[in-house]
Amino acid sequence: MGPLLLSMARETVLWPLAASLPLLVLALLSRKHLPVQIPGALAICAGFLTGYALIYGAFSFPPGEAQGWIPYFLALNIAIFSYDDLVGFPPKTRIILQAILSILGALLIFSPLFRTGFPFWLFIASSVLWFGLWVMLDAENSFALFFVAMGNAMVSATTGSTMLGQFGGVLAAVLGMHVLFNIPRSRIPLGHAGAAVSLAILASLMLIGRAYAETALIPNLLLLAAFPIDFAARRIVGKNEKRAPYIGAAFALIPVAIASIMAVKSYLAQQY
Amino acid sequence: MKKTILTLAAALAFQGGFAVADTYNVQHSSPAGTFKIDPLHSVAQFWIGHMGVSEFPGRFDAISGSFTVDASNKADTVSVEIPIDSLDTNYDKRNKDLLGPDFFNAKQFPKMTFASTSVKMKNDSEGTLTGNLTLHGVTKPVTFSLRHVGAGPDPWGGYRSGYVAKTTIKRSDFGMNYMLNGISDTVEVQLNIEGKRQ
Repeated sequence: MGPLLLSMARETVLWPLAASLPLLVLALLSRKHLPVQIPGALAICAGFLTGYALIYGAFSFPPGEAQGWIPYFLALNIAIFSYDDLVGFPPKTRIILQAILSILGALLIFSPLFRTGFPFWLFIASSVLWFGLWVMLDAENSFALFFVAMGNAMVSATTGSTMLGQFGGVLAAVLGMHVLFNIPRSRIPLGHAGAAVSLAILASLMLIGRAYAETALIPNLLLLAAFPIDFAARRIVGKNEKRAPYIGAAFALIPVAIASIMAVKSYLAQQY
Repeated sequence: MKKTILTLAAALAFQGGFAVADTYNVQHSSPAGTFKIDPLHSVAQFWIGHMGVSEFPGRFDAISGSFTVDASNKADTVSVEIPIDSLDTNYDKRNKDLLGPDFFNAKQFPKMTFASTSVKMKNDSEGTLTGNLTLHGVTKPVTFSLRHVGAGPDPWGGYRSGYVAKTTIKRSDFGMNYMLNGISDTVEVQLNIEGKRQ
């Protein structure tokens, strides 16, 4: 492995996991005093931001680019939904907050493009999609999220942007670690905060990829399709069934695998 | 036979006479005037270090703008605009990577511009060009070494003048920080500009 590849592996996997792991251990140790979801969500955030800082290297405010907003948006999400995990918002309040943050997230990503003729309806559609996925994934221990993050890393790196692919790789690494702590039984549920930050990262990366790097459309749609497939499979098996997350993830893996194969094939077709 | 040899010798002498003649001459007429940049004879090129083993070139094929040269060199101005998506590095996948959010982010920052603030000529042909370069949404002062190549009439009744400007920038100064460990921070930039007098 060459020095560049080693350096990328350190930025994408090693250092993010080194930042995430202590917080996951802390989550287990402090569960008698604090809702375990909160340090769990902090672990995802800390891991991702470590990789983000090493790869992107900028934390300016106000950010000059869409991806520059991700840390601030994550901070907002984790602050609101950690409080939710702590005190428990009424469902209506939570739904309203999720709707507002979905719109805000899409707005931060697309606003630099509005003056270049970016279609407004795509902003609306993206906000609605973000909100829909959030409601579907909220507080679920979805292993599918991990698979989709891996698929997103592959699709972004091969069809649009190496940097976004690396960001996707960081998310997949920290979610993978989170998943490991939940096998064979759920010890650190995602909770509202974990779902909020995981989806905020994933949605941001997918939208930035499509809007700024023109990542391939069909593989991206297949990745999105993994969520309703996972959701439907879990509902069919029975939400409270222990094997439901595994069965849901197994079905979700199918579109993710197809998307990844399509992306890699299109990448290889472009090589000399 | 004798006739054939003579004919061949004459042909060789005739051909050889043409092959060695260099009829290209730099024109040294006055560079004064206001010139519109001719995009077909102008280009912005760059060289960037790749993995510590080579210096790889790229270029921007579309370039527009104007320059004005005062007879006394006291009010010279240069204004250049380059659409980022005119980038070409001889490989589509690499072009796409460079135009995306990893580097130029062409969707958000579709053009780079340069507006001069001062032109100082040491002599008739050499000097420095200082101005503000806006790239990737960041504006920074940049100084080019400037060489006036030539000026004079063209065969179509126009009047042309051309320059070569060179500088070195750091891409991180313009917020392009990605993969500094594999692709150099330092970028050599060269503008070859030919203008047609208005």
